[in-house]
Amino acid sequence: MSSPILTRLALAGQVKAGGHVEARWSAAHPMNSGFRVDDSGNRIPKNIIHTVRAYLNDRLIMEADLGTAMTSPVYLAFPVSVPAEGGIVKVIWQDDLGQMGETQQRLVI
Amino acid sequence: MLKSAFFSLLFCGSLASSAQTVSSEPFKLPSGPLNQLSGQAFLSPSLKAMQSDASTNPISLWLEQGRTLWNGAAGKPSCAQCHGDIETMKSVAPQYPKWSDKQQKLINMEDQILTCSQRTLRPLKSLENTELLSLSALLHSSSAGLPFQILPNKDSQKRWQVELNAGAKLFTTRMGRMNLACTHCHDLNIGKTMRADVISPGHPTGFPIFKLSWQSMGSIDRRLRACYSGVQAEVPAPGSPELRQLELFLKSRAQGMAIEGPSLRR
Repeated sequence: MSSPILTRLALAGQVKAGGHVEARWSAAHPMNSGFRVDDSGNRIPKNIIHTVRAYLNDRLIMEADLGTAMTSPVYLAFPVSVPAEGGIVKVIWQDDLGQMGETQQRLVI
Repeated sequence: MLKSAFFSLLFCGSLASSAQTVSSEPFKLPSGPLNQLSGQAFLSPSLKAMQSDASTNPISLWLEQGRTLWNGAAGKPSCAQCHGDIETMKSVAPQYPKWSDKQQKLINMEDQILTCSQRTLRPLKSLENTELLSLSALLHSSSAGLPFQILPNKDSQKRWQVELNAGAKLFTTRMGRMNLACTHCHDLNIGKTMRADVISPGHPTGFPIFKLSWQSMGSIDRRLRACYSGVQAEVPAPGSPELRQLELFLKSRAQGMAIEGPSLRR
């Protein structure tokens, strides 16, 4: 999926079966709240990432409904428990313009 | 459904307070002379922590994109096809701004990337373009640790000196409704507080920067324009000769200091 929005997913901590790592996801999305105006005073329409879903081996582990108070770049951190067989953490996002993106990282034990 | 069960979300009202445990250590400047300190010394402990951890540092996003553009996707044209590995380019960023005989003006790193991109199938459009900034960030990060090499070309020495003098003059000329010159803050009042910030000597070692108040990366060009606006002077257009002259002066003023690569600023 190609998208002009830069996203990044990093896994912090030691990857050990049965342990936890912290997944840190960020996206350089403009996150226009809908309240800002441009140089000529016209309102910039609201366009924020409204949904972020995280999957571990295709199982939904986290779903976030984001609001207009999020900064840009968006940053979310959440713990992931490492399954014995390892796996793939995948984060999918969607914004008000209908743009979507996906980032994944492998959990290598 | 699983929303409350299994996560703690850390919302970044302020990025600085995220993920890292927020340090309550007060901000302290190192002892000794202040006029050779880089902007790094003026970061709060929590910003320093954020800067040093690639997984929380937002600049990683731009660096990653820069690397993708540099190396290109399989079979696609890329910067590396002409310029080779990014490591071979580390002596490039310290040389800018320099006098271009061809364009008969001072050009900085971002100008050069913009010019270079016009010869490719993917010309970039503006100086503050995300792709341009990510390439600039990548080039500057490969030069991290190297000192500036601000020198004139052999045959345009005179012209170069004129530009440098113009930069020095700008640095010491009062302007704007505040009626301040750069030197009044960045030479004479280093270490004092101005509103909620501490005044630095203004050495341009950490560009391009990710400025939290911009919520984005920006070049030295943009930062200097912000200074003009800060003293309520007429803001020059992006890429104006006076911005390049000022950059040339600032970098020769920081001669001997090391480039730090793309940095976080407040």
